Amino acid sequence: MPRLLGLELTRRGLALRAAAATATFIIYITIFYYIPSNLISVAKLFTADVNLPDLFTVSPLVPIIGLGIATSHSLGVFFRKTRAEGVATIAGASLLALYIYYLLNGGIISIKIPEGLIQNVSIRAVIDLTTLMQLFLIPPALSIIKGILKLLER
Amino acid sequence: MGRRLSAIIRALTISAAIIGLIAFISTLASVASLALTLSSINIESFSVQRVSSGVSLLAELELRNSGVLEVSIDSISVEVVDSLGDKVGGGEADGVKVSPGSKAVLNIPINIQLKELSKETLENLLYNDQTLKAIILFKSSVKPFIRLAVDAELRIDWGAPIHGLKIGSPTPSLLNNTHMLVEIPLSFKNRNSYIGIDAVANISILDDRGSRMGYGALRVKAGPSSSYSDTAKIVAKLPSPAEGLLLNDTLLSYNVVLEIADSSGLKTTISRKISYMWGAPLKGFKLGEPTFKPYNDTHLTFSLPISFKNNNEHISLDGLLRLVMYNASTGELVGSGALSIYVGPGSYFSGEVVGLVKIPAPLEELLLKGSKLRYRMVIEGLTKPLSFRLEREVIYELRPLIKGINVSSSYAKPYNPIHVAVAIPVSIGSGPSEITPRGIAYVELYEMDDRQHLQPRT
Repeated sequence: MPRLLGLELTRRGLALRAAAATATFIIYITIFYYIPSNLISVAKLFTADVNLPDLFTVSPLVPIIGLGIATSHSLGVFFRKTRAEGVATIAGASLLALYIYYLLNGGIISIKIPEGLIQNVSIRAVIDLTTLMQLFLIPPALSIIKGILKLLER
Repeated sequence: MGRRLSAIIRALTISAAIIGLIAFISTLASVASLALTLSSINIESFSVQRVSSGVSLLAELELRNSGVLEVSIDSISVEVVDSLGDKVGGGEADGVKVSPGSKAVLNIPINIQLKELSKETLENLLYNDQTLKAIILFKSSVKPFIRLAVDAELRIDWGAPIHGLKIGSPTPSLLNNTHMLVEIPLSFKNRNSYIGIDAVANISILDDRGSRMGYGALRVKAGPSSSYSDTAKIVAKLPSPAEGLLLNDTLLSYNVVLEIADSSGLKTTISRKISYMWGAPLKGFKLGEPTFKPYNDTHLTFSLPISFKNNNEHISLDGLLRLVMYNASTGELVGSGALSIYVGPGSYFSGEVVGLVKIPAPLEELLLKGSKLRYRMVIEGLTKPLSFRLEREVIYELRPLIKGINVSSSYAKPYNPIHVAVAIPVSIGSGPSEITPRGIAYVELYEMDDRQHLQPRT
């Protein structure tokens, strides 16, 4: 019987874990890496003739952090019920908090709509999403506590 | 311990999921409410009014909140700047709260205080087509989740309300010998789609020294996107001395100052140089040599040729030309004559004024020696529309009328018991004068007494 960090598993159980971890990785990598990396291309699927790079910019750290989130969460799935799950949960939650912070640009997003997008109008907007960002940061914070507790639990 | 930890971990997992869900729903709800409300903004009406302080633009916006959270429009302020970057107006609107499923109306007044604008800014706004920039500062929120601050620049095409103002060539015509009527065509296009011009144009004509020679006023009314054209009629003084204008063609230069003003503070002044070639109505005025003829014992008839060209293209001289002669030394009125004239524009005149003039004294000197006649001649044109008066001092030399009086030896013969007939041969030569004296020569005889005094005798 194979053992995973002291946890005995059947071959089937190990294969299921590997499959679940892979699926998690694919889902997370799509959401947290692929979409932010290709935000412009994705957005262009829904809009036409829009010079999106001028509207707003996303920090280049966001996809990299997304890659870390996908990895952490897939590892968390793979090492479920082991001590590594707690570490992966803490890492994944911390990276998610960072991800939210950078994605929302610290809660303040600036959008610039140049003239031409709307006839005779140019717009510069500042959106303050601080409250929402703080709300979004609570789940990762709870997840960090959860990860610590899981470490203690094992 | 392990079970307790597991319960806490489960509780944390559930809390995180619930809070994450709440955050997600809050985001969706607030973003959707804000986006739907802002995208529903519809310009219900846009009106432009002339008010006492300038121009008031009122934009009435309608908002509909199709979202699920209340959207607040906290403040809107608008600042309008012209193509030079100068502020020309602005306004602020009170905030409104739009509850879910309801609509609200937002009134945004933009006041352009014409009276407060600098001359340059106002003239730029009046005369030049341009793009005005409305800078809109807009604050909105979906409490407590989103606050939005928008700084938008809206470009507004602004047509010049007074575009291509033309002050045309003036057409003067004489009213009298001191004033003329000047007709000045004015035209422009109001290319503005929003505001009309209803003002008074005060037009002054200034001479080279800045003295006002004439003034006129004209109502200027041009609705939005229309043309204006009219002719200002101005009574202007002729420059003095007027005699120069009577006799000489003159290029008259004037400065036309046009001030357009209305009660709302629209006030602009422009000036244009205009010039007009004035044709002298008495160009080449010339008094010829007079001819004198005896008329009676005290007067001669005279005939004085006068010629000139009416070089003015607008006026005719129609009336009486009167000549009054004064003795240049004593100022005594000595003669006068008159002539009826009509001289059309561009026509030549040549005629003779015929009249009577006193025979200058002493006659003996005139007869024998001739005389220099010094006259001050006043030529008055009692004509319409232009009357005039010219003065000339002239000297005419009258040559002696007779040349030598020769008295030969007389002889007497008895006539009756108390008289003798005396025959005195007298010869009088004709002088070089063109006047041929005719009349009777009287001879008086005097007897000289012992003291050599003359004693008259019949």
